[in-house]
Amino acid sequence: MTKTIAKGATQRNTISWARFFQLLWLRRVIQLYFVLFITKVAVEKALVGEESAVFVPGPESYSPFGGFEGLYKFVTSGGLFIAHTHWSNLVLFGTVVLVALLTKSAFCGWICPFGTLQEWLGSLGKRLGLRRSVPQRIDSILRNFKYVMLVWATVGAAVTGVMVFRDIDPYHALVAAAEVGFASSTVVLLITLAASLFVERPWCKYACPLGALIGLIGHLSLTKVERSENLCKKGCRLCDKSCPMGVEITAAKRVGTAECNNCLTCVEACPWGALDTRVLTLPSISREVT
Amino acid sequence: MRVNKFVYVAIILIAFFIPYGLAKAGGYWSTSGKFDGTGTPIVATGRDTAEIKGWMTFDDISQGYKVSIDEIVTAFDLPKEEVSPDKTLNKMESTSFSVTKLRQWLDERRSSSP
Repeated sequence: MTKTIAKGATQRNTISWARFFQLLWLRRVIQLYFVLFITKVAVEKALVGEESAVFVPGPESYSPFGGFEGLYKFVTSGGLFIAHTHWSNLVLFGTVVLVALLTKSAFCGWICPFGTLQEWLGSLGKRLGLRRSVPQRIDSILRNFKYVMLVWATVGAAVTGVMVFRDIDPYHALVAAAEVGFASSTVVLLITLAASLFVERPWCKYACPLGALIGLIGHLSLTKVERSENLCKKGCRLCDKSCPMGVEITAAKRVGTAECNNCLTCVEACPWGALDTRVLTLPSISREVT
Repeated sequence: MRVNKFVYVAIILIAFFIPYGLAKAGGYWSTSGKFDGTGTPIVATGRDTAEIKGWMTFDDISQGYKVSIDEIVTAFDLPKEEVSPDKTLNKMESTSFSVTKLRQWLDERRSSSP
């Protein structure tokens, strides 16, 4: 089924429900791949354990934030890794930085398994009628907390040589449940999962230090979502309503805010073809969402 | 300049997997603290106590840091009959002994020795 849009719009701007589902399901497939991958790693590690003569990597080996936490020690000690980190963590951290520079926060929107899990729970919560909106003022204040987490985790690891964030990391509690048992990180995990039923991606929005870091790096990204003033019918606000991160897309021409995770849901939701991904060209004068 | 959405997705995936491929090819990919990227076992060298991991044995520490196992047992009041050269550090962790405390003790020992 094809739906034509505003008079004067070009052919390429006509939306197709088939195309909508293509990108939508492509994203689902990619997200599912990474969830299944880390699940496989976690299950294998839980079954084999630490004592076995056969080594299998643990899910912590695939944590990019672990690479960031250990970066200071790695650099200052001439190549030593802090506990629970390896070359894989460092490489993945570098990978996340590269992805952020090229595609802004797409790691969060397309790859991160923990973000995907929250998204799935959010969809379930919406179907069950549990979805709630956080008051704007409270939401604005809470969004800053993830930067506090970032500073704490960074400084803590640099000073102590230990991943202080690991003690409350819900991702670690989830993927290493057999090892962690019931700890403070488990409490954080349960709260996050429960909150996900009511609020979209609560950990991503309010507490994820990696997301905070990616958002900061993403300001340097060459590609961002842009809105065409000519094609946009701001009254529909379908983009604003579809955004899982609660970004007010209609407020600016270019979505440069660190809150945007580049999931492209807004791009696909727009019936006017007014949103698109664009590579920035100089000079860039557009006012960004703050 | 507009970027096709599917090209954008391809860029995400390529940017994500290329570093892994390069690291793997260059011997910089390791998911274990026991081996480096080339598969060479990691040992306690005595260079920096940050290298000490829970899976290392008392013998590894003794060899790397030139300290007798008895000295470690005495310093941390460990039950002598439970400590053997091939026992891993994490097996003996308790309120009085941990890898972190061992690192601190070795640092202090090194700084106080002539």
